[in-house]
Amino acid sequence: MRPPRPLPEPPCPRREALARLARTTLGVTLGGRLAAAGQARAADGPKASAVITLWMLGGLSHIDTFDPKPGREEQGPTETIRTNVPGIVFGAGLRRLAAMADRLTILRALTTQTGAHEQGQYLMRTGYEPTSLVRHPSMGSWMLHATGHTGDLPGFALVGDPNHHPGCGFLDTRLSPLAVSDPDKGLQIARRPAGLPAPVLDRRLAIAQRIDRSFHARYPDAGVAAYDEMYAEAVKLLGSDDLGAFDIALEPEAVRKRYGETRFGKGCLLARRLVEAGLCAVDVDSNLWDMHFDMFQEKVFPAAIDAVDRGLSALLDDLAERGLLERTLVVLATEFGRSPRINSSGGRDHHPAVFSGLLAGAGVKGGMTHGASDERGFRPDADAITIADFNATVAAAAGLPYAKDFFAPNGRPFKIGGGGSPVREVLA
Amino acid sequence: MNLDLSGRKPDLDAAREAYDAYTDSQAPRALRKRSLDRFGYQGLVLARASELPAPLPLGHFLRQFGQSDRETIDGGRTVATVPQILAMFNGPITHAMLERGSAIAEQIADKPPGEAVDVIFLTILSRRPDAEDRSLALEAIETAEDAATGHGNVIWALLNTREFLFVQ
Repeated sequence: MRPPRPLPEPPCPRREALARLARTTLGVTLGGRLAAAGQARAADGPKASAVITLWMLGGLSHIDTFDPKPGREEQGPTETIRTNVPGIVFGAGLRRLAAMADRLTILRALTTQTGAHEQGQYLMRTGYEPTSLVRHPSMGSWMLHATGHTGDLPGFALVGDPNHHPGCGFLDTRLSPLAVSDPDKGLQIARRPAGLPAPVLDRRLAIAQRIDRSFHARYPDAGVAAYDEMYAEAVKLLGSDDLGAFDIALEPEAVRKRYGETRFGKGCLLARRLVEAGLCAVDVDSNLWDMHFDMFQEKVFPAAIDAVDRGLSALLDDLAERGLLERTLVVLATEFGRSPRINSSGGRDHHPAVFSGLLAGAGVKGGMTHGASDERGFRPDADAITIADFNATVAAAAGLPYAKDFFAPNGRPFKIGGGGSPVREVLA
Repeated sequence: MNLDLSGRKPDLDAAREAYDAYTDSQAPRALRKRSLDRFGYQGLVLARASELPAPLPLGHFLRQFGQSDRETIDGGRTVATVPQILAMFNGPITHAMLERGSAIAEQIADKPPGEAVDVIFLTILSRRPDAEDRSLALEAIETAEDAATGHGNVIWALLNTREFLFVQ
């Protein structure tokens, strides 16, 4: 097992050189506050060693879910429901989650300026705006990098389409998420009965390696090296005793029913199995949420939110029953909200100005809301938090060094979470 | 060395037929589909990527290797992932190459090992083996339980080289 390779650090970072220059010639200290924040942890409570993030891709309506505006015209046809925490009200589609609101922390004043899906999702997953110069790592890859995860299974899995995921960014390729495109099928190829017995695999790989030597000598290329790493990871994975973690068919019928026979529910169940098997991070993507048309028809929003309500509540219960919620943070996130005004097609359009997110489990408090939108759900009214702050909060809940500089191969410094400040009020 | 390529001819004709059927926009969809299915293997249509409908479903071999879902401009990726390698190890596309009925398996079935090695290298890497490659491949074929297993091991090994994966 190789230890994670530290990123190369330039001999004297520009920022440090400037600071030293300022101290000696001007008698001032630059970035003192930042440096202090880097050493102090946000809070001293127990941290999450695993993070499950449920992505409501397309933009989840805040008004119909975690930030309803009962009695206002903007509320539309979605009814509201009281939760088991006095004063907190949800959209009625979340009845199961409403009964366990004492476990949830609702962030009601997330705000961004990005109203386009691709850019918004990238920002949400990395804490940084997309640029053409560098690809930023997503939170799961940061976790593996910062904690030095080792094991036969990869540390980070994605239930969804890897094409739309920033993956490991500029970090080591082996820190990228292992993608499972269909939770029902798992790592289908890894469990084929007509598979590869280890001796056959070894013999064939030995031939491949020797034939490939001249190619490697001619092309010492980073892209080629990336595939070498993936080959090593795949061989390790095939030799693992824990491959069954990817197979939700091994769960008892009753457990599968509890999560719901939906793609999202199955994704949640797979996430629990993977965290149980020791993975650090699992992203579960649901891309149903870009509801511009007829969203209040039974099969659109109500059906989709019911799947989330069932899947997420089952996940939290199941994690708690197995004692895993004490070390697992569950995040529900989206790239932006949906407009309070219902459009002429019976849907809601993109609304980046204010939207909601959810945290539950290890590292966070539960039973509270943080921030508020105005009375019509248009803009933040109190305690607005940026996407970088949100990412830094997740990083802090997982005990990651969110204020530390990590250097990309191009020498530029980046921080886990995008340089935001954690929302201390919600951290345990 | 002389390669006898005449055995490939019927395959080329059949491929042309399928291609014509597929590109004929007048043909009913069902008919086009049927003619493509002649080149099917375990639910996969074996044809050039440019002749397959796009985007393919998530989880398809080409999507695993980064094909765009065509929802946004420039949506393709060229990133290395573990599922790609698992597909190369043990996926249906690799198995299609190893089993009787594939063009390569039929070509080499009755050839002496020396010729078989040439065919395998030319088919997969578009080059002839050098002396070391040849002795390695011959050893693999001659020490295997039977010729088909030996051929399979060499084909599999070449498919799993970086030389095969990268356009040079």
